[in-house]
Amino acid sequence: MKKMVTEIAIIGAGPAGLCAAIEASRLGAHVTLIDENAFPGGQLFKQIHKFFGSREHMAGTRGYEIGQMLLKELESTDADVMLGSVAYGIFDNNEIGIMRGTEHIALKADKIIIAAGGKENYMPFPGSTLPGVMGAGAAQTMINVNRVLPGKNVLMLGSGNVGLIVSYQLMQAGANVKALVEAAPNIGGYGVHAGKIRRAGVPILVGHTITEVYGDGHVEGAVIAALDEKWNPIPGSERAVAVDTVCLAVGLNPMTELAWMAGCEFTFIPALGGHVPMHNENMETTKQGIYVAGDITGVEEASSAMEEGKLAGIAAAAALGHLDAITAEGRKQEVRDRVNALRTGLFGERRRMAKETQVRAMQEYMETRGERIDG
Amino acid sequence: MAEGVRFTGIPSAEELAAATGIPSEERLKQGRVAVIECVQEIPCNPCESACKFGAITVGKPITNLPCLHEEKCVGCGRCVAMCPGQAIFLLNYNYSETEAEVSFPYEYLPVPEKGDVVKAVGRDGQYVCDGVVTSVVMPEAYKNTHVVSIAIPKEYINTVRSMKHSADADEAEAPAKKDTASRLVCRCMEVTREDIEAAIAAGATTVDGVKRMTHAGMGLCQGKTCERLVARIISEKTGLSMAEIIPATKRAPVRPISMGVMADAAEQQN
Amino acid sequence: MEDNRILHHPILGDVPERKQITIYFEGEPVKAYEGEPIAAALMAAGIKAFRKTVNLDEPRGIFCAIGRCTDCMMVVNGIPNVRTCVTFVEDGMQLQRQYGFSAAKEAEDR
Repeated sequence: MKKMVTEIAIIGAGPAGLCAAIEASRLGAHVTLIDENAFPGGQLFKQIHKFFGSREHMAGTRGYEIGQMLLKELESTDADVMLGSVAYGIFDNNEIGIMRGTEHIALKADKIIIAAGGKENYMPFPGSTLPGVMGAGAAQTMINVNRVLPGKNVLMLGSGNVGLIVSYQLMQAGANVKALVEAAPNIGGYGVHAGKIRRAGVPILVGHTITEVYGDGHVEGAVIAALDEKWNPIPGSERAVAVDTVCLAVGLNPMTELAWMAGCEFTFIPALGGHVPMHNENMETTKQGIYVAGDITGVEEASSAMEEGKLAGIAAAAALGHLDAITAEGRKQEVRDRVNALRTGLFGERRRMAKETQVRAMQEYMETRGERIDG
Repeated sequence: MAEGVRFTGIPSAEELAAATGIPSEERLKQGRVAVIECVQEIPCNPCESACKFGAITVGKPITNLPCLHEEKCVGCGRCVAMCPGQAIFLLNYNYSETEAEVSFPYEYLPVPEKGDVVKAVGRDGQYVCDGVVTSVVMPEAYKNTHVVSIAIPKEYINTVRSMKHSADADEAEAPAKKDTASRLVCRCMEVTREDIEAAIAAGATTVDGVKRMTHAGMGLCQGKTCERLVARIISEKTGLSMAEIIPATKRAPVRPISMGVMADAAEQQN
Repeated sequence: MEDNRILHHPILGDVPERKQITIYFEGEPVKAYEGEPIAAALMAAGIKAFRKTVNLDEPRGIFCAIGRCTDCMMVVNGIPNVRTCVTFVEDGMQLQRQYGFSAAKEAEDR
């Protein structure tokens, strides 16, 4: 086993991890960025729409272009990047177990930032395992990264921004989206995203669900039905649609395995996707020296993941003495203000309150414990 | 069916009337002007800096609805391409004696060409009338968002907002349903909801407990796909809150890696 | 052969030039491009069922496409349980549908 050391190890080279790495290395910290994929960028490169937010959030720029910019910035730093490297566990003394091909590495870090991201939720129904049923994110990867169309006629389940955006992008790639089905009585995502697919003629059926998908070896049809107020299918409302692909956009949840393993304390916040690691205003968890950033702290979107990454990067570097406390606090506050700007309005307010609950849970935990439990 | 953008994806007449980006009837009659059909407070403000003439302001917080200062709008169309929500259009009431011109963002292939006759559609994507493409603009700054303008009969100026991007989808009948497939909660180990309910009935109250009895979550994906569903079923059946049902114990490796490697690691540690 | 590749795209432009190679699915040649995952090449060729499950003998294909769910596992050059959505193609690669958790051959012997 190869032994390595670094100042700051960052797990996950998506938007949060990249931003953390860039900030921390610019401040002079020795950074090692680890990602299991062959390429950095996480899920940014499949985002081909123009981002929301303000100029500071690179609004108006398409996601994959933001990815390219971040990679260029990363190249200009001294950060070590380990690709094709699976961080399979975090052990005592901040040691990360890593597999790179057949090479086994133990990386010891003064600080660890876990930016493992999120994963798509699954919803079971008869036929939900048939080839042709896939996550909306999977379809998005196929069309925008691999440039392969998963099917010609698609049914989308879920009207959050993911379902709406991926429906639009499937049409841009040349597919027909037969309908978007949403169990709730209203559309979950932004009205403007819904408006794009409505103008393209896609019906959005709120109060409906998929009761079954069927086909001989792969998807050939799906049955949709209206739901009553108790979310039960209304008998007689079922109808079959001819589709070869069914996409599930039923939310995401944080990839928390490493944080659980590391012994971080969790709190349960439905608005953020379930159990999320508690963290303070510096993104540091209940385990001293272990930070979190991005979707692992609660599912949001790439813009806030980038800001949380910067915050964790600055905080970790400052904690190692690469930045004086006063300057660090100023820098961190700038980031907090920017990320809070994203958590306002009709859709953001709930997340802002959820994030406040998360930080408060940490405070209460620390007060009860009186001190940190060191790893 | 309920009206409004939250239910249909289309702003209702009331929502549009209440929006701050809609020009007055008077301004509309004067010629080319932007109409900002942005009716929800979302964190977004690129339209503000897109306008070189100060005709759009958002201010702070950035969730404010964009405000159109109609007297400053020259109808250049830059905001149409820059709006990530594609919620801005240009209207030119005075295109000709009988026709108005509507401009909209367009991100499909094939890109139409000037002179093409296209099928103009409303906010719901339904055919309204034929339109003739009057211009297609895509400077580099628009980053592959074309701004397409089409001439349509004046009466449709408030209805038409885009054009059909493809031939009508084939309306093939769904094939007859065959046997009902299984409904698997754990895809890896092929565990059904009924299996999980049986385990709970037999006393399992934790994700780990259900895992031991049914093997749900023991597959190669290590429970990444089904764990939450198992927790929800436990919650439904036992009345425990989701907060109380913690995920299965996490052990290394958190990703499938070859057993030889782990054996090697164990040896090293011993 | 079916070709589901998106050659032209309104935002991403034309597909960049890549080196074409050949992989083999159940012995049949399939066109692939260097630098793409196995799953993409198979999906482009219209192949949907990547494996059969151990108990119910049901087909499975691409589900998450980012290496999480393990539904797309195949026998690659004789090695089972390879996640084809995150494993890149190589010229001459031999792919077989996986039956259960082991290589196809054992399943046939059952």
